[in-house]
Amino acid sequence: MREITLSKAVNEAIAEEMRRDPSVFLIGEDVAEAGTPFKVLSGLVEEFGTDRIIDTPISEPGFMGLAVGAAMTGSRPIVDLMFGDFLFLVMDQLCNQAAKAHYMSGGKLKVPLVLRTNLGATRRSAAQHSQSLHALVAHIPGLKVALPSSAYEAKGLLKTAIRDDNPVVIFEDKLMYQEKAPVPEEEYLIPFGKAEVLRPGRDITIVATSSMVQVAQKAAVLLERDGIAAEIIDPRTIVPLDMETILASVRRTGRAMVVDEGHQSFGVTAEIASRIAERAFYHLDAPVQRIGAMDVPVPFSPVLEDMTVPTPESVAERGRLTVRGELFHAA
Amino acid sequence: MRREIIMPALGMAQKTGLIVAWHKAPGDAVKASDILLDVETDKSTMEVEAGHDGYVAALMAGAGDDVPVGSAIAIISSEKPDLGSTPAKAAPSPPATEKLAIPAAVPAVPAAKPPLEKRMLLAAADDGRILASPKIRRLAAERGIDLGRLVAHGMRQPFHAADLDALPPAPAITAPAMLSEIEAMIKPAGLAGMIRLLGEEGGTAGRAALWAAFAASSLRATADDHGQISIRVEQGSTSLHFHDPDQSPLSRLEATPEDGEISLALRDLTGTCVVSTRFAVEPAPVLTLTGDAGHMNLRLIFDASRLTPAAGTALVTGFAARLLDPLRQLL
Repeated sequence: MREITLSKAVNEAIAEEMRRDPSVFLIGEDVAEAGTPFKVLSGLVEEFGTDRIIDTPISEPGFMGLAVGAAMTGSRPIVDLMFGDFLFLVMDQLCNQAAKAHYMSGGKLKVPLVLRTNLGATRRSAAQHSQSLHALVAHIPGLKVALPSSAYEAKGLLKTAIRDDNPVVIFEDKLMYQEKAPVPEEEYLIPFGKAEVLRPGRDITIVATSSMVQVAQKAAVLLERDGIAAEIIDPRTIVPLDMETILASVRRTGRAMVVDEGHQSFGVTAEIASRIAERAFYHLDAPVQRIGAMDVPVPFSPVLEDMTVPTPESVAERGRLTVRGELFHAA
Repeated sequence: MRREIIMPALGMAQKTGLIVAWHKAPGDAVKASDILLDVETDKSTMEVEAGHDGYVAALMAGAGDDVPVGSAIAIISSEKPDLGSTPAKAAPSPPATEKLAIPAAVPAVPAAKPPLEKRMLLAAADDGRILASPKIRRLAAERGIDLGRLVAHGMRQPFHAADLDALPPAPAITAPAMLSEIEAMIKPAGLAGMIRLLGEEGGTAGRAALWAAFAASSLRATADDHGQISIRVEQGSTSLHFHDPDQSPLSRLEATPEDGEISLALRDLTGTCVVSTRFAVEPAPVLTLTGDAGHMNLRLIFDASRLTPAAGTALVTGFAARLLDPLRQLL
């Protein structure tokens, strides 16, 4: 199978959906001539023109509000939000309007809108361009949240998002844009709410999202040297969340660890860990472990920044202690 | 408060631990983290921490002793002990299987391990609660295993599912055999004269020999295939043994040293205030004589798997008949 970059996979998904459905358009900053700072959209304006690949002034609330209105009135907009950190600027349009219009209109309005943005630290982009804020939107009923972990998932999930009649926020790992993965030439979709078991194992279940899937896979290789077989589950979407696949795994392994690049407190790791504790309690042989990003603004200093996110070594060490029954916090 | 320190299980399959040296003597003050003793297993020598703050009240095993896992080896008290009244050394008590022993200290493993791990290895809860994962609690309940057995075996808490596999199988608990009982009451009018006669004829065994001869001939009459019959006669604190006492003339009957299994124990309680006995462990059927020369009670307590009810009844009636008509014994 051919291998393409995550950037190319996203580009293909958008192009294919725009060819398929004339109501799809894309709007954002530097999306047309520049093709975004990450060059993800290069070539699209040449094919679809500036009526469907729309550059905007630097005004996130403005183009986000415009897109929500367009979605309500029959279009299928894709909003390009240059950095996930800019979510704070579009909160009212996204969370108060897009997320609630279907409910508050008694089902008369639909908001088939995709907000494409990114997450991920260690790009030396400092505290306002390095956050992983997917937990913020996952908290709001009415929004779906997709977290692709590879080029393959990025394309399949984005195409599903564009066809969904509800607002979907999809986060790409900005450090993975140039990473290649096998992606079929023929069309495919990846359903929401269906987790993928990426690696089978009997000793511990590692639930990892987005950028942390690769970290978990490298940790599993380290653990294997110690005779510990880790099972890795990629939920792919956290809203909806496929707990059945996660629970079936945890009931088998008896141990679980959740790894996510959002800040650890009040985040994705807390949510998934507590659902495991609620529904697999009598199968747990060790406390459910959470590894998120440190609860600090992401530092600009490379040395410090690298310390704030989970690494293969830190994940493997926690897994080792968990499996050996040596991770015990007295009250 | 006094806490028993037990020989901990330092290895999965360890049955005993050899005490290499004590680091503390009776009367010494100890902190929980102090090294109390060195224990040698088949694999290595390890230091064992006291696990509790206090004073060494007693050491119950000495250096060089090979002590079963789970046996109490020392006592740590919260108050300074009065050593004049405390035995400095007593026999190690066997592993407690029913009571919940105080968990042993966690061995301080001398191998170089990261400080994080050392810090997380904490002794079990001080209040006697058993710390165990939800999974092992569920498995133990399903298999009917008392987690107190893991405590008694000196395994490190918190317990995990794998600890159940390391636990040696429980000794088979057999229900105590139901014992059968036959009671008879007689007025042995001719007995006094017979005993007097025996005294004049000589013989040192006296009454005991008469009882043995009556018992053996009664017992032999219950079945055809009796080989040797050995009778033990208990009178107060003395007990005499007779081999085939029914095969010799009464006047020449002598007691013999105990040797091999006995066929019947005869407990002569006549002339005492005791009216009945039933001991937990008896080597053979027990025939108890109570009362006095005027009114005598016979009580046979036996295990129906060793003596049939019909044979038991025949034994009691035969013995009673000989008491009523002692001359019959001479014919």
